[in-house]
Amino acid sequence: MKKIKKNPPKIVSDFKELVLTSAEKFGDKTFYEYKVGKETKKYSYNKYLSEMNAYGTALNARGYIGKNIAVIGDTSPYWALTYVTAVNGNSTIVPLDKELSLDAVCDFINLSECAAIAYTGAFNGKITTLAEKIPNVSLFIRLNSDDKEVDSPEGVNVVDINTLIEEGQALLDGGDASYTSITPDTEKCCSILFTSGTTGTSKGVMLSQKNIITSVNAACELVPFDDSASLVSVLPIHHTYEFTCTHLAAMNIGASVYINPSLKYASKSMQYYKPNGLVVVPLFLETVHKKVWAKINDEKIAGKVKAGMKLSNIALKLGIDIRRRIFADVLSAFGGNIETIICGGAPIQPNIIKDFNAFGITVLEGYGITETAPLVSVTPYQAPKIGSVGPAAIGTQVKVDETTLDDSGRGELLVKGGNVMLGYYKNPEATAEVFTEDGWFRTGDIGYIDADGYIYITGRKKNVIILSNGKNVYPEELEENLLSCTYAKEIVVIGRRDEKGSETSIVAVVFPDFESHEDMSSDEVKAKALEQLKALNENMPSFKQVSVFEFRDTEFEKTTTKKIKRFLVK
Amino acid sequence: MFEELKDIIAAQYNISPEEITRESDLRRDFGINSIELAELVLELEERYDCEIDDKAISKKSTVGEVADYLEKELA
Repeated sequence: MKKIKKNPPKIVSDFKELVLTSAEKFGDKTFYEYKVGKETKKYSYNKYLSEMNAYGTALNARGYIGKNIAVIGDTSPYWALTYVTAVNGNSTIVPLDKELSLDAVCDFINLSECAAIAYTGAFNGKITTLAEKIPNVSLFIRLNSDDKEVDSPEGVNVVDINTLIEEGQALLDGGDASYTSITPDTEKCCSILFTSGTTGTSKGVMLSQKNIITSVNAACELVPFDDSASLVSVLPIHHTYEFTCTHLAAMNIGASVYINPSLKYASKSMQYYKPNGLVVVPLFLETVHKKVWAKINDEKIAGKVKAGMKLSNIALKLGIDIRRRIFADVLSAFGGNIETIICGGAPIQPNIIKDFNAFGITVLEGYGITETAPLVSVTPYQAPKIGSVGPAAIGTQVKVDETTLDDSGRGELLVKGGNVMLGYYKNPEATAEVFTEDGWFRTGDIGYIDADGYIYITGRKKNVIILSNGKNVYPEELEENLLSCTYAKEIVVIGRRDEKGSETSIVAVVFPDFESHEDMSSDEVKAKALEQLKALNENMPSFKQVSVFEFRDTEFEKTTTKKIKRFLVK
Repeated sequence: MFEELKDIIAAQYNISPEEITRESDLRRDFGINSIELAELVLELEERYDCEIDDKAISKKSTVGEVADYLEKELA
């Protein structure tokens, strides 16, 4: 815990400085290590800088710098490079979730007026369909040059990223400084992030370089990582949490990042790369925690382990750390070298943090939302408090809205600072709703701040369901889909924690439309409703699917304005 | 396939094989989360020496549905 950073990161002011400083400081050191088929490849800090300049120069020569560019697909150095190259040229990058349906991808690209799209292999074979539906996109950049199958239909401008890099390098060699001389505009929108899966319910969060860089600097300050850090990227890269707190912060620190090729290989990636740090969502820790205790109970050694935890805690108080020796098996779940895990995206149970600490792994809980780019706070490694998400990060102020205080002194958390978004894309009404008159951003989260300034999150004001994998599910989006059921009159979707309080299930509470089906018995109506609802549920990506359907015989209680009192539905 | 899958699930998640039926829901009945499901896919890939679409598996709810999918894919 008292780790001293050997090479503290520099406070940077924009993406250009971030990439330049990192290349200067860390040069040929490996930044990314990743798999292409069975081959492992390495990507250095120097290569990142030189390829960014070449890629940007080519995009500029082709007229795409300054325009909006979408990026979608698997995590790869070239996904990250596209993001940084676009932003560095004062373009706006639109990162999209690769799990979206093709129709939703097209809707978002059209809505955000993108002129180009960069994609990885999964979109090969879909380019013809895509091109028809996104007529304003005139450049398709294939990011994975190693794909065996190349989908390049006639009349569609598909270009391999390596071709662009070569093209840009030739221009640079000929003295073209049109891209490299661009002065960063840190205040303009550089990234639009959509908050849910359909354009109807989604809001486009507009972030500036200043917003993102404020978070990068704060993340680097609050975690104990330095250039000896080796991380594994396991979360989806389009999430601002993953991209800012793993990829960009790692670059500033001088860390090395192994890209986990797929969720199913997460455990293997840990064994291969043996990271000393990780940035994860609670689901990862809950899963390992569950496994560890299942094994302990199975081997009937729970008593011994608990005694070991007690002993190691006593030894620790005496300044002797024997945790890593006696809990080597637990550490091996993460490869054996793990020291610090940053956990955010959803609340985590304090007992899991305590257990990991007892095993010798420091878990630091953080708090952030897309609208704050995302970092608001992390419990600091120098003085952590379990159960708290820490004091406001540098460059950020947090307070509780006095007008919303309940009897126990809890109220809505408000945030102000360099990390707070510019607003919602083409949605001034929604933007106005989330800012107070004096410019504080309303997070929608309820909590309190202790005497030392540490923030505690206790609930949410908004309806959003936060799964323990950090994914946000908007009940309205699911309800909209399910209400196509001709046997359902009212539906409320809620998140329900299991008995242990760890897993959140998505539950749909349904009031069937008995009135329109008077010729049928109530059981028949419910059976028909269930059949249709299950089929409609299949339309959604798996993480947005309802896992439990419950029926009620009476309609939901309403407010005077005829809105369902959702808070009564448990 | 169902019987084999039942044994794999029983061993991987420490569940008694008697509790596992074709209708058992992986998430609701056994609390299997997305990471554990991804690990199950890897286990199946290694056992049957094949590549399995984890997205397709994640859309299945019951053990029977997963068994039917595997049977079709491995045929």
